[in-house]
Amino acid sequence: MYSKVFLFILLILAFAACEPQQQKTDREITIKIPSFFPKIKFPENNSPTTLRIELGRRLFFEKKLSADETMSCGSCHVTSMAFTDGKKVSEGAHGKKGRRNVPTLANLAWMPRFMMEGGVPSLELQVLAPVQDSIEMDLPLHKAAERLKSIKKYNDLSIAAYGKEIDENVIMRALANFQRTFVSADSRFDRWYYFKDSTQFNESEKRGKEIFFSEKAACMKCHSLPFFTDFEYYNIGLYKRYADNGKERITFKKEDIGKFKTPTLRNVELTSPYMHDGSINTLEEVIEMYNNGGEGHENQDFRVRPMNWSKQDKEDLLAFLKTLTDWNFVQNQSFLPLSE
Amino acid sequence: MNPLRTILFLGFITLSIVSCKDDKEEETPAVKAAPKAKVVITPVFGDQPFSIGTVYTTNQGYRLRVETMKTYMANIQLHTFDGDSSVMKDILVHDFNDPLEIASEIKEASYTTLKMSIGVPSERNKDQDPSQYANSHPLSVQGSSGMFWTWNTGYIFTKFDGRLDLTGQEGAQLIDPFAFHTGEDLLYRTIELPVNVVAEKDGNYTINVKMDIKKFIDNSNDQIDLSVDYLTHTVGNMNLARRFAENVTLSFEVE
Repeated sequence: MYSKVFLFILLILAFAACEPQQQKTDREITIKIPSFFPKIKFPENNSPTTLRIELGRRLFFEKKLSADETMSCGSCHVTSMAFTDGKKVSEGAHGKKGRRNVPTLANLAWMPRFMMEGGVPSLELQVLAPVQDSIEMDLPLHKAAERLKSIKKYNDLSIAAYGKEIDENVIMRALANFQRTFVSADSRFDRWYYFKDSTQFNESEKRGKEIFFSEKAACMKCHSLPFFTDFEYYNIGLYKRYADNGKERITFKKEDIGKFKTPTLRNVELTSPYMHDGSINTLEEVIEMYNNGGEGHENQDFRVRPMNWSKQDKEDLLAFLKTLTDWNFVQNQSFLPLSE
Repeated sequence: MNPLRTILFLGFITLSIVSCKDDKEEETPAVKAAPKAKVVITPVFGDQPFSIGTVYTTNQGYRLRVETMKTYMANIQLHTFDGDSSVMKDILVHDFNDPLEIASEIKEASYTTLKMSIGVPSERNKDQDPSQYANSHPLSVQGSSGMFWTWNTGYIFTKFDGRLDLTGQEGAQLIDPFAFHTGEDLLYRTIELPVNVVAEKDGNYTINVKMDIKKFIDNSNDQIDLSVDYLTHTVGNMNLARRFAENVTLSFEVE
């Protein structure tokens, strides 16, 4: 009798063990964006889904994407620093020094072109740049794909999210998909400006805002709403002679020497050091640079000129810039590595 | 004899004779194959065979060792005098450590020109996604490895680099680098070489082309002084990239 019961239990256990593992199901999702941001135009073959974002999130923090497996995207794009790393220029795989300051990744979903000179037309293609660059992650993407193919979790996710085993195309799309979720629009400025919450600003911040939006200072002409960038390219007179020619590198036009894409000022308090080469350490020094009117490069934008701001003006401007920090953005748990 | 048996016997014999009729009359003549052409592009350095890693001397007396010589070639076609053409290959990338062989069926015609382009045609070059291609394709992520600018989306048309010794002294170390990495639509070049191929059915035709790498530097059109002009990634030195691209264009010759 006991042996029959034992056999019965054994059979039940065997069946339970053989039950196929619950396959993850994918579903389309809507990325939450504020009413004052335009709609996101997703690429036809890369609309956001739960599993595509999960795969992108895992890849973003995956060190196997670098040659020596020491770096992931998240090594230089640190969530708590608005996806920057606080360094003048970053170190890549094998300790190689980069050439430019790490840009923030806030609101990439609306960015029309990528890299500081705008040489890359989509977020998907942008993935190739850091992964393959010899001074960044230094790994040909097809080799990264080979590495990941042997890892079951990636293949399972890839098949569920994109209908095929993980490959270069999937890596590019998944990373882009995850990065499009980096929406930053919940600063004190947003609450004050868009939701008319007057308790958000003190007197100094209000004065700073007046300077920022004034015709004289014209900061908002390039750092325009709602992204605090117009995504255009300007020479701000940082140098008389540029070691890095910026946009001229892709257009070969002299008038583009020293032009770089306007960076967003959202979370600017957290993204030091500043400028394309990380040459200015503090926001106070950036304000001073603009107050002095630039170095007078022949391509310098006409709006960069001596401002004659008082000490109080500069303090107010700094106070205003700090209202652009979105603490919910930099503390968003969805932008951190997934726990296994 | 039973008449029925006789009729059946005669009928059988008749049918047998008919069925044994010789098939030869119905045999169709053998179909002749389309003509085949092969273009062989052999790299040389002046009057010497070329190979990666060998040290050569330029006209200016500099010693040079090539470490990379790769190029994209597109639209390799044979053209007739009156405008007809046969496409042999649409796009390829080749490492000129070895000769390049392109073989293809062609149409029956009298060909007078071999046309080929150095680079990737503009519609397939800028802002294109290499991951759209299978790994075996020359424009794929894998196929274009080392030949794709990721920060300025587009293909590197020609990659020619290595080390130099500007003293020219035998035994001196080749320390100084040189690099000519050209790309961008502006530098897409088409070469036209005279040929004389009368392609007929069943015919096999080989066109031997010499690519003189010495002429990349020492060209009657433009001599590049490697002690001064030794580096271009196109970006930062478009003028030198343009000179180099012109010299490459003038380095091909049908043998």
